[in-house]
Amino acid sequence: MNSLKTRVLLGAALVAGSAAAALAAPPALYTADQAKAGADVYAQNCAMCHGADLSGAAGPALVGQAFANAANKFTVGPVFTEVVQQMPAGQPASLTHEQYEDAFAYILQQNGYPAGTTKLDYTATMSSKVPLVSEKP
Amino acid sequence: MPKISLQHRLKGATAFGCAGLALAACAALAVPAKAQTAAPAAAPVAPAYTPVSQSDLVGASTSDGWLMFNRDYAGQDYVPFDQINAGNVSTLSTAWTSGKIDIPDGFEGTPIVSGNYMFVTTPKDHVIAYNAKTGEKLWQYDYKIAPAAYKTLCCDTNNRGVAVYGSSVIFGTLDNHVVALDATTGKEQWNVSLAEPGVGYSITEAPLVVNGKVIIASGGGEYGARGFIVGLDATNGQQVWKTYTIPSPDEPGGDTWPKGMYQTGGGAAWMTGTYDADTNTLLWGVGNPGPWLAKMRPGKNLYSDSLLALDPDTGKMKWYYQYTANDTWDYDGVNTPQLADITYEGKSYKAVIEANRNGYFYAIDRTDGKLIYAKPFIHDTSILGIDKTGHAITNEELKPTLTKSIFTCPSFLGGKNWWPGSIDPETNMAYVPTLHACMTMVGVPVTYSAGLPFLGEKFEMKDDPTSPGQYGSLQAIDLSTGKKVWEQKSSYPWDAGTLATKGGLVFSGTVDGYLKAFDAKTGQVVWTSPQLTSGIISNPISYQIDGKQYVAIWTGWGGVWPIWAGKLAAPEVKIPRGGQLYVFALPSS
Repeated sequence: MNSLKTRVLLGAALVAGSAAAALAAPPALYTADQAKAGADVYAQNCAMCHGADLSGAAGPALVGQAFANAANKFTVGPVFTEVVQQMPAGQPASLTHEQYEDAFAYILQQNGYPAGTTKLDYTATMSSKVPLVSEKP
Repeated sequence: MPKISLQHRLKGATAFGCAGLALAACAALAVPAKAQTAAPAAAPVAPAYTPVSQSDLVGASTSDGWLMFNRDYAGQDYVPFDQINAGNVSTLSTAWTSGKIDIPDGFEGTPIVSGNYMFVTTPKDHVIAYNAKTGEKLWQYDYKIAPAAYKTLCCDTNNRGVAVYGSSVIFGTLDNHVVALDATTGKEQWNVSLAEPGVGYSITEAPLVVNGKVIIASGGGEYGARGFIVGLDATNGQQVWKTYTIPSPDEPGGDTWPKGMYQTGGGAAWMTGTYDADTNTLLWGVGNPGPWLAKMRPGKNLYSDSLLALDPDTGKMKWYYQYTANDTWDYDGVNTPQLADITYEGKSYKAVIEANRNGYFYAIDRTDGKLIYAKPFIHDTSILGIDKTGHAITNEELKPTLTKSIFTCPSFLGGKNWWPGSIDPETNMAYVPTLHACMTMVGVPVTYSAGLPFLGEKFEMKDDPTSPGQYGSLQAIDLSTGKKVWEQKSSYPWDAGTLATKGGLVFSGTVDGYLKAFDAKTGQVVWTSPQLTSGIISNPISYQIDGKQYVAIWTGWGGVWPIWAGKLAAPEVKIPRGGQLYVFALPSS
């Protein structure tokens, strides 16, 4: 894999700091069930603006380097907060906490973040400092 | 002609809704389809092209073409053509259409007509040249947008059009390039970048060319991008000047911002301005300050929500007028500043007219930036009136905080959004596409992060309690009084620009896909097109070739309303997507 090669080479070249942290394997932040449910939430509430494949249309892209690359220095907290406070556009904060958790799990999954055993939690995620860097091109 | 082509023609014609048209119009309507499906396609014969000079642009108001975004430097969107008039408009028929363009985003472009060429843009920055008389497609240029640009869009993938100068067709892109193409071939002449994509900036406006300089600016006010306007050398794209709309601390106005906040202060100048050739003054509107939540940035926050008068050769400011100080409601000051000579209370003025997002209709002296009058044209609770200095009094009680939710009118989309209105010198009226909606708004914590929205508020559009269920109207306002003369109300938002003509007509489109003509004096509907393929959110234009007058408009639903109007946009969910250009004319006798 090209990206893996890049990761190893860059990883060897970098000593420490946030760039190196961003290159470490992404942590598991949600469960597979959440992402599965989130696909439906996304399709019904988000896809009309952000595209069925998250690549962006009337609204911004939510996948790949066009969404979150290392140079952006995004962390999970502010992006999740943006989603729960502002989305869906025009009807902000109109979904349930569970729907936001699920939709965000789906977005993380689509960006190459692995599923785990701990559920993504609404309150904790708002202040998460985990780097958000898409694994997808 | 092979039989299959004929079938295609008929099928295509039916799809365009020929039932409501005369037979002759139906046949004419299929011409472009024929041109596009003939195989192998003979290369189009490019009509001769006369380069556009500065004196052509100064004289654009009398041109047979449509040489710039708002037709002329005054920005009046008015044509001195009367071949189509109240007496014969009922026979208006389709002269030609483009093929249907399968992009499901909003078509907000204004076609530009120079000689026999028509240059149009589509969402996602495609540029197409047509023979304006026959509809034959002459060339297409497909710009490749950097994917990062899609991260920081505000309100769809729209492109509002090109500028023409010399032999060039010039346009801006969502990833902040400005590109010049050869008018007859579509080949790239130059291509320059104004800003990185993905951090906030994105260009959707058409450039304006003045004195050999391409004047253009970008969007980004929702991402804390510090606004700027540039002048580029039209021959090579090199930057001649750059003026930030938000001053640094050492510049005049810099003290109207808390320390350091100018860097993320917004002020995107995202709509095409106008130009006063008599005084060599550029007039350009500036958008909302960033973040939206005003409590985070005490001060007037110059030059957000302002009209700037600039020297087009240097970018130096001559004067400014701020419509809404310390704005917290997203009342951008970018609606077209239209030049008009008016009389008010017995005195003559060289005025600039602007129907503002904040719900007031402004007449400002364009020689010095002093207010002549400002009067509300919608139900307005955010602005309480005009103070002794000639500026809006903002309702401090209706500014949200982190703990206070407010309800006010108009909504964040304003009493009028970007759609160009018209100034008609014959009726002495302005025609204003109007929105009627209010909103709730409350502050939320936000910190700046490049590439993420920088708002600090959440907000939701609501019915106006004084006109529930009525989201739009087309208004005529008397320039000598600032008062409404007539109004056509609609349950839909009025989401399209207007064209006024010497034929005594005002054209505008509806979101359910009808182009309409109104009697300019009374507002009575005198013509309605057959239902077109999609909703209309663009600006109609008119031009003449070989003595025949045409009216052209894009259909293609999308834009800001379906994204941001929430529940109020429910009736529009089923409007078909995709763009198509329609050109109308009187039937040949």
